[in-house]
Amino acid sequence: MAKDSGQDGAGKFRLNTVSRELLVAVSGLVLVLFILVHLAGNLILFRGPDAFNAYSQHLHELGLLLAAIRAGLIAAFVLHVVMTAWLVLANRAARTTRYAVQRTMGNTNFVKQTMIYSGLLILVFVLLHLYDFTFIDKAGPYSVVEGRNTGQSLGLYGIVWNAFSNPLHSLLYIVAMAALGLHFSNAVSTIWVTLGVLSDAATAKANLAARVLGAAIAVAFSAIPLYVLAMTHLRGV
Amino acid sequence: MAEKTISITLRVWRQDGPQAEGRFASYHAKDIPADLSFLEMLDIVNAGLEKAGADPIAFEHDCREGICGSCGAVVNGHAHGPQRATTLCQLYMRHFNDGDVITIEPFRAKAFPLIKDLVVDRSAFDRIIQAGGYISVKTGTAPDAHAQLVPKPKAEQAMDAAACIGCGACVAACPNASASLFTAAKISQLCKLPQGDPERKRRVSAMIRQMDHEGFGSCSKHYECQAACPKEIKVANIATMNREFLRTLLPGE
Amino acid sequence: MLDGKIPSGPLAEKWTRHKFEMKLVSPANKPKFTVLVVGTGLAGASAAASLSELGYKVKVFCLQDSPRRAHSIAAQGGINAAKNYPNDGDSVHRLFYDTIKGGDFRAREANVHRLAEVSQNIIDHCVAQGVPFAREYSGYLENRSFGGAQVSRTFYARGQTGQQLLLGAYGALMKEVARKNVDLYPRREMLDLIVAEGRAAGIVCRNMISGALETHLGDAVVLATGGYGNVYFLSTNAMSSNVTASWRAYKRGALLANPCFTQIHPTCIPVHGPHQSKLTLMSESLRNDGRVWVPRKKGDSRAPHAIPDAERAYFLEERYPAFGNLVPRDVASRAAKRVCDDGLGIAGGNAVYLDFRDALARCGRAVIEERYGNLFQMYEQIVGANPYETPMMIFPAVHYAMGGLWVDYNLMSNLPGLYVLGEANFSDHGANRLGASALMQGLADGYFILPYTIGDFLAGSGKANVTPEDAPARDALRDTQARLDRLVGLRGKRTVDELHRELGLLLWEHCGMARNAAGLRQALQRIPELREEFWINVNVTGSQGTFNQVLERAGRVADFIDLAELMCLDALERNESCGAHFREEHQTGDNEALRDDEHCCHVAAWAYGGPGEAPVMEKEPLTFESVHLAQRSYK
Repeated sequence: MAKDSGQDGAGKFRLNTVSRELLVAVSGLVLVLFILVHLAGNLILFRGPDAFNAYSQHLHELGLLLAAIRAGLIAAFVLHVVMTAWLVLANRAARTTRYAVQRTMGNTNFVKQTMIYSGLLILVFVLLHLYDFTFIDKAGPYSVVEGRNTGQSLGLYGIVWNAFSNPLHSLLYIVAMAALGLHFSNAVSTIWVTLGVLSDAATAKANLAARVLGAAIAVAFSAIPLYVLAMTHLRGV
Repeated sequence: MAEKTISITLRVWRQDGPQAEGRFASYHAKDIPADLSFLEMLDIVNAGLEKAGADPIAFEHDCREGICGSCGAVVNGHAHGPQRATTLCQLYMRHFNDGDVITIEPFRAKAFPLIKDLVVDRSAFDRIIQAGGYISVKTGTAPDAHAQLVPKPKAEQAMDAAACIGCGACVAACPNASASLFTAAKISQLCKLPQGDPERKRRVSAMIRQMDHEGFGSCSKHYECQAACPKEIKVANIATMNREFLRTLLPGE
Repeated sequence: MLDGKIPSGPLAEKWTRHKFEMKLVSPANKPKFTVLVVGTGLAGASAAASLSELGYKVKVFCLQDSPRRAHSIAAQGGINAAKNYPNDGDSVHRLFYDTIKGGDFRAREANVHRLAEVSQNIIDHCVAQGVPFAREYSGYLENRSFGGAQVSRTFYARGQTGQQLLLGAYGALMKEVARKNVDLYPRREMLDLIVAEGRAAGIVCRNMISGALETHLGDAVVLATGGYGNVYFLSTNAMSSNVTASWRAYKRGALLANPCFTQIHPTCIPVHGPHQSKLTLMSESLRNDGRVWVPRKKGDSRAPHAIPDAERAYFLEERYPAFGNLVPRDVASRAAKRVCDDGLGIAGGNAVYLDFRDALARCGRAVIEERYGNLFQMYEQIVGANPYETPMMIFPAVHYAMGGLWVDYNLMSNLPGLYVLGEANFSDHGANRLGASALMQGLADGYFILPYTIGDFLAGSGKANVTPEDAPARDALRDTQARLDRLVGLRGKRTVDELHRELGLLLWEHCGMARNAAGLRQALQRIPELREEFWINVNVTGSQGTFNQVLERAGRVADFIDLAELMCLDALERNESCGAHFREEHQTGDNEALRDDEHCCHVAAWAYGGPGEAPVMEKEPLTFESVHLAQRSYK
């Protein structure tokens, strides 16, 4: 975007707000794709430890490609967060005196107004999530599920299982997935305006699709902890 | 006509100047005919203040037909009041009830510094237009009006966007105090017409830069601007603006 | 005898020949001249932009917060041009003739012909600017008919033509501001004209935020400050529209012509009550499809749809079969007044129906909505009734001032260096303006006439070379300050609006749609009393040095009072009926206006006589070479 980025009065290099919005949108789109792929991978868990671990193993065998994908994801994530923060600061500064009474005209809603909070929640969640599932020793003691596989490691499957058999952990995960669903639905419905790619009518349809998709994602992600909880606590496996 | 009247209480933001301390003041407006416009109701309150030797409430208004864009205040939390597609001057007291308490505040945005009471400085809009909200044709150089045809749907879309009256309600209603809708409406009007084509790249970049420079926020797609706009300008124009901006990033020409 | 400086030669060649004969300012010299343009409506904005494009330094002033808000923005219906795109027999000559006839033969032939000539360039230019005129599916421009014409020559942008044209001119102006060749001074109200050695050389204006007085000097002053309809208090003009700039120029020696020619527009929303602050116009274009009627029976209180056709008086169609509902404004207004005076007005009051029942049945709701949707919506907002279901109620209201500062063919007043454009001058509409002609005139003056004629003056007269320290500038500043001090010191019991309303009622009654000598004399007696009341008993709150809307209004009303007196005097002196000026003593057997071409075929230009002295009338005789003075008939 350097082409249009002017020099500010203070000589500071700046991206205009539309460029920043576009970067948030494009990085968001990358994250959306990642989430969909991630979800597909997660759902392999329902096919049992072997399939799931094989999938995990397969990913790690990608080697350099995985590193590149990870780097890309990190870049997209950092860009998404930094650009958003930059916009939010500018937006806060744009109105220094608040209204004594402010009512919506009916077009904004809770989800739109809390995008920044759902985003922050997701940020915190991602850090914990990486700690919980990515940087952990996949063959370590935490991968052993009591009473299964004769005390041998169940790999990543075991780690997930152990984590989600803790109701508090599952609850936090589900809350985060709800936030993700909301964040996702609004993001996907507005991204078309930011990118300026859809017609009016198509945007209205995209809104509906985005809501359905957002809900579906939240539910699908949450299905795993719910499944684990059900298996451990209801059937006492 | 046997007229219905109502009595109301106003809470009005009073502030003598940009640096002065502001506060809400209460006024009682008694027996206001329901057929009066909101501004005529303020006229009555002001006449009372003038008679008492007090400083009347400063508010902007001019055509009182909803087209000049002078008037505007936030009434009970709504820019231009609660009616859709209505400027403040076209708001009528029949939409209020006896005993209502009505809070009136100025449009608030850092880029719209307050001048007095409900009057704010919207010259930032002029500067956004100066950055490129026109087609640079010099008087006397135009070819015959029929030299370039404009398809009717395009002309209609351009007119939809061109209906903007520059009142600033979009900024006032936006949680980010963004001027995206105002800026986009002009960009959108001009890029839809063949006459506006040669300057489209320069126009969109310059106008966005000026919009930022004035200290307006960015668009987070709350759509509140569209709901507050007395001329029902659509957020679709913002999509058009962004698309126009993306075009500037393409190589060529 | 006043000289209009009309060029010689055949009518159709005058302007072309004159353009060649005028002196030019060389491109290198243009930046040395500064032109002050006051007002940013169609005339002011177009003039300022065009002069700057030519290379002159321009300073532009407006009392609104932005030039885009000038009252031209509110014009709804359209703009005329002799393009003859519909191939229905229009031509420059027909537009010229319609305008001269519409003005009841009280305008200058040469000016009007030039207006008709340049009308075509206006449309070309505005299209190039991106004005989104209505188009047909073919992509070609659409035209519609308008009052006073039997051809379709009106171009329009929905019901917001004035807005779109003004935004075009405003854009052009902003382009020049960005180029730093125009200095923009918004929120400035011109309070005096600086005249040095007989030449207009500057203005004094008040910064409406700080209250400070400012002196601006230049080599020419262009007033494009609009009309004075607000002298009636209730009018369709914007609240801030005023006569002050023109009146100050008048008091500095400029002539004010035909002040009694004020247009009453037939299709406005009727007055709702004593607190009404202004009137709202419904575009004349509505008369293309709406039919005007009242019940035949006095006191018929049935709902309009319950009254059968046989019991409705479609009084315009009956009286004027050739033009029907499309008669010119003055004729339509008077007809409505007549039926209301006869007690046939709706509910016995001052209102007649404008009915779309038949048009809705003929074209369907979708078509009517496309044509007038925003007007119908506006009506519903204001009145709280749906015009798709029940007929609109309308009544005439003050709308436009044909009178204004006197200018010659070059648009220069009798004061050298003072140019007057648009509604502020008197030049092109005679005693009555046709619909869709105001936008045409404003833009013609600003885009295509002044840029030529001002060069002739500047090339011949050179720079004004007046400094703020020179006596004329100091005096004007001192006089303005003294006047403001006097206004701010007024701490009486009556509000400015109360006195303004009183003045308006008086003028509406005696110098409105119909006038007579006795009434005018009565008004002339009453106005000085009102003036005295004002200068003793008005209450101006606050001080000069702040944002003070009461002070702004007080200054304007003081000038309106003086103007009202001159209007009545002019109306009394004009012993005939013509156009909008209807003297009850002068009418035909069937109550149409009766002109007196033998004694009154002139422009009445009034000169300020000095404090306490009567104004002096100068006459510019009107000669007609190419049209025959006929009694105007639309039957």
